[in-house]
Amino acid sequence: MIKKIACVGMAMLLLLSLTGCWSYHGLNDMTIVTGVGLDLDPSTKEYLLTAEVVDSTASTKEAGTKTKIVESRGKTVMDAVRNAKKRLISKLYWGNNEVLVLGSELAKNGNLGNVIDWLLTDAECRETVGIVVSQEKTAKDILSIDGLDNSVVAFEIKKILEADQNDVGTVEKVPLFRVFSILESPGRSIVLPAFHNTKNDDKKAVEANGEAVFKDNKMIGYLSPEESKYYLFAVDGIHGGILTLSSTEEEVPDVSLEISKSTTKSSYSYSEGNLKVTIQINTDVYMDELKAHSDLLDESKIKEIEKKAQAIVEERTKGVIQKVQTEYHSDIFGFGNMIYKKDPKLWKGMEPQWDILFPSIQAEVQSKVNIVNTSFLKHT
Amino acid sequence: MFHFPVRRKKEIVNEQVEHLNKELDENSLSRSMKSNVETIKKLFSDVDTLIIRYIQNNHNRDLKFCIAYCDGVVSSAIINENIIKPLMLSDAVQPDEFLIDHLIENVVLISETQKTKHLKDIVESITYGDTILFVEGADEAVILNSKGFQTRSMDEPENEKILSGPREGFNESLLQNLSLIRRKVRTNELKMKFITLGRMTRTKACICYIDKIINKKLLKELYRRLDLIDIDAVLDTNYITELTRDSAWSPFRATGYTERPDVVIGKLLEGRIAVFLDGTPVVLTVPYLFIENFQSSEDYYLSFYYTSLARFLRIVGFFLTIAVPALYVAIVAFQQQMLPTQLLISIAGARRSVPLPAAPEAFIMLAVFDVLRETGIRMPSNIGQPLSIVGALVIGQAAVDAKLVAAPMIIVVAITGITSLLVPKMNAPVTYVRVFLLIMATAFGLFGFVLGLSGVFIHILNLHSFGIPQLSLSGSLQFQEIKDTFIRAPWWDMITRTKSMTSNLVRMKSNHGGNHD
Repeated sequence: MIKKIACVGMAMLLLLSLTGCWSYHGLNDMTIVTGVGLDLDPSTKEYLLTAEVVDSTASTKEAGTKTKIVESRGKTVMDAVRNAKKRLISKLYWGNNEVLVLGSELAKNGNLGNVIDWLLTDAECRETVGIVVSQEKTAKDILSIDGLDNSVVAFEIKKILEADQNDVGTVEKVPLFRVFSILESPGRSIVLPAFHNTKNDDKKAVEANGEAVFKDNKMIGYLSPEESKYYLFAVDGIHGGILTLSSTEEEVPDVSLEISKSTTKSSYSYSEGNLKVTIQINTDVYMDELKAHSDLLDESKIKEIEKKAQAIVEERTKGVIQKVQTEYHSDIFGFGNMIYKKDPKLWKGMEPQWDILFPSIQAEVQSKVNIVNTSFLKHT
Repeated sequence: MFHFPVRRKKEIVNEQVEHLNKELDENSLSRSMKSNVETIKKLFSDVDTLIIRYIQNNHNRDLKFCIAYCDGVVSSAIINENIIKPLMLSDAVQPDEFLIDHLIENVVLISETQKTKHLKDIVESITYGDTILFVEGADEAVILNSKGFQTRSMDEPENEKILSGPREGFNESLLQNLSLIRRKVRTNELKMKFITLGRMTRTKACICYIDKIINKKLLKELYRRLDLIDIDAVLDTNYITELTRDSAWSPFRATGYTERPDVVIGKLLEGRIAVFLDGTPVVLTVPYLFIENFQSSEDYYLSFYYTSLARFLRIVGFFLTIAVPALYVAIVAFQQQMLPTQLLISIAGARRSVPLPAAPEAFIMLAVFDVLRETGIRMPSNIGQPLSIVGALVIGQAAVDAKLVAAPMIIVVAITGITSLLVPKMNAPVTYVRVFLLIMATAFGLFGFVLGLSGVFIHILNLHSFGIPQLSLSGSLQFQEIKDTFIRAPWWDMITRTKSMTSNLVRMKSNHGGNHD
């Protein structure tokens, strides 16, 4: 028996040296970070870190969670993180950090790959952190205001990111691990959701405002929310949202179609130096709003609306592709990646001149819209 | 195969007892009644409850008798009417060599009689409420059954109360207990074998089983282990459990305990063996499977839908009661990433300005809870309610308000406490396992917790009850065998008995299985 106990005891002692994460640190000794913003100081080239942390003294049962802002600066991201400790009792705890907001200055002039490297390699940070770009002057401008529903603005941004793709279809959440994998994959540039401040009931609120387009590791421009929607159509990333169109000859839209399901298939053909990409979009929609009192039991009327919707999707998706080709020269649709996956040899030849090739790609968009539900009430 | 504890006997005690037994063994009765009575008197010197009464026959003055018995354990009415009266008034016997036989056949009005020459038998009988009849000129005595002692009524056992079903409970009298079983199982297959345990107490025990159902190897093993028992007193069946169990140091139960006849019969019919012990209402059943910790007799008396759910809850309760404090400490002190952010913030808020770290807090609160529970068990019932109010108020409300304890810790302890009541049969092991896991979690976080839990399960998987694995996860598991485990299948579906315990699998002929397909 004594021998047995001794064996177990010795095994336990061995454990001390074998395990990795066994440091005991109590919850009350940590400053919980909910969201973090990074800016670049153009004059000193230093990183400015803005952390939204939980203010446990102000948080009460009635008032809910309150947050405060902790700022620091440093030569590298990690340096800035550690410098924050100088003005805090306890270390910043990153395990429950939900978003990283990049200031527009940093996004334009910094290096995205370098910035996210710390988040990826630190033990505490999650790989599911959502990354967004601030359209305001600094990242702090986004993080320092109160959310509309949730006083923790980082949580609000996270919720918006998670639901937007299914409900509005303007931005796509790109978690940290996907940012990394997109940056590392050939023939593909990254887009990140952009956020700006807006007025709501005379108070400031954050709002998703389209996508920020990157080329390599630097941001080069934005897509408006409407453009972003058709960007998402092109990359098979749309799960919801509204298509508006006019069922009559007038300009004013009077029909709302809610997207229930949409699938996009892309393919390419290459012959004699001509690269052609075909994008097939198949969309199921519900008819949600119809101002003109049309007879919806009329098959031809429905077909007519479907046709108009198809035309809109085709035209605007094409428009976005052309805009990106001409203005940004950044392959955010992953056409190059598609070629790399299907024909690596061909891609090897193309890769050096991809920046020249990409704008010259002929993109063809074929759209099919099916109205699966007319929600027709009564013929009046 | 068996991990049988090696008991180091205390040699001195042994010698004394052997000496006593030897004295009783060697001496037998003589033809002189007077000297026999003197022997008895000497054996029972300083025992004032011993009564010795001389009797002379009215018709033949040469017929002299003497009776000896212990006051308090006999019925005076029986002795007066059925022993003394006929001995005095009978004219049916003559002082000849068949006197003793004639007395038994023609005179005493006692159903159970036995002739004996041995002092040992006499001593055992007197102490058990029998009357000894000595006859002048005979070297034999007659043991006459005159037992008449007070017994408790057969009330429903306090700690095994049920909502519906039979409400009888055992009392401290072996024969009355056996009668409860005999009355309900009216077959000659129900065997009852008496043995005697305890060098001093000479306690009667009865091994009870149904011959055609049990596994004979198991019965042999039980006898072998009971034979090895060598102890001065056996006051409760727990003595037998501890002296015969497979893993001597395990906190988990190795035998089933019950005070309910219906439970014993249920187990007998599943192929188990029951051990009754005189002087205690608690009856042992062996072998004991781990799943029995989660079974209750009521499971079989209520709707199987309801009781399947209850079974499931008990198993969940077992996991919760051992794991919740350890998991809480592991997550709050090591792996905070496991918590959803909102929960993390609210726990962090509650833990603000609480003086102790989570781990010591957990140890202290669990200790306080165990103290409260222990006082609750041992205390007179009229103090119970005020104490529980004080306990709840002091620990729950005041401690949180005074910022001595974080509110989540109270919730953790409350869950632990309440769920432990779901498995009352595992009170002791659950407490030890809980503390063990908590220590592991405090030292190594979730790693330690998982390691500790694995250790506990390896231990449970290693447990045997009389050579039969208590928890079997082997590939030989059959569908019929799990019908009374996590769920309780309807009676018409439980066609066979558990294979490891029985030689006769068929509980029910399947074509008699009620009005279903």
